[in-house]
Amino acid sequence: MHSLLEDYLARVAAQLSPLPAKRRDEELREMRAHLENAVIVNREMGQTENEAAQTAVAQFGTPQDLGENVVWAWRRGEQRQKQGFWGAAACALALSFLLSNTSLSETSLDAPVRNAIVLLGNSAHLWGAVSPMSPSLISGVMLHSLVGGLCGLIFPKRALAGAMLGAAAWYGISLAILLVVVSAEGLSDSPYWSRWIPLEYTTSTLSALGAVWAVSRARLAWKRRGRLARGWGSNSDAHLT
Amino acid sequence: MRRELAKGDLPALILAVLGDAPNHGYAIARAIERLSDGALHLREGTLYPALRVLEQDGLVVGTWETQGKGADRKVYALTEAGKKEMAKRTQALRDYATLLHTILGRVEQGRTGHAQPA
Repeated sequence: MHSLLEDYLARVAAQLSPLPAKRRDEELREMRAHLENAVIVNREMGQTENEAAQTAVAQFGTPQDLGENVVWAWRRGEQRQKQGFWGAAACALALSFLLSNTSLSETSLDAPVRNAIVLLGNSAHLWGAVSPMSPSLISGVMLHSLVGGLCGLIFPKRALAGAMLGAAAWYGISLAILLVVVSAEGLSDSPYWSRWIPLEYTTSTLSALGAVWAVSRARLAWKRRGRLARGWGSNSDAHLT
Repeated sequence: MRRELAKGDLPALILAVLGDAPNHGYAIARAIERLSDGALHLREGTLYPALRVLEQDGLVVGTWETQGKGADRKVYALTEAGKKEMAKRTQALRDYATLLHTILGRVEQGRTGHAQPA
């Protein structure tokens, strides 16, 4: 490659220092391909190697402007991903607390919301009545799978990472409260409190994370099915100038 | 007369070019120049930040292709959402051009006292 292009790309690379290395390399790889194409075409138009490289670089823009715009575009993407991550974390934490407690029927929530929550809790208990598994384990798994599914649907891209944070926060706080209660009430000999309740918390958290992963993957796969607009050919060179 | 392409118009033109067929960055730049008969000039490096934004918005998707000879290149294609957005943005640009033509026509009419041809 011409030394002028190498020098130019080195200056652009310096401007792209805020980007992660992998991303920076990909951007430079694409720019390199563009400049090499430009030099080839300029040579075919009769320019010398030097002239072709100078024209290609002049047409590309200054390293400072280019770097500024590329970094801005990358930061825009990062900002959106952060919003997804924290949104999923807040969603997971808030919904976990809300749906964990089916005794909300006695709160002042609006009747439709209250009835929906009670219905979810009752259907889980009904399942538990005909199943060897504990009703609270069933309801925990069901309700937290719902939480995970909602997170995965709303924030598919960073849902798993964010929901892990929210679920971990819920799990940590709940276990801390449980330990205090068990210790204060002297319940450590009770298998229900010392074994089944921690099992319920663990399986509920894992089911929530499993649902986040499954639903977010499904949503992204669904989006990808519609990604490429139909009717266009593949990658022949016929359309290229 | 050769003029520099306004930065805000670039995404719509990229979508319009990709509406014809998938293309890589260099070919998109050449297509814009060719379609304008050389009248529009753009800083070709500005294509890549614009393409990145379009990728983030889910309007285009880029795929690296290995070439038999020469550097690998990233080819961009419209998504379904990109196709709809392309129609919207190109119509908005047409409407804007029509509006400017109308305004300038009326200004000229006011100055000369004669109606301008459509």
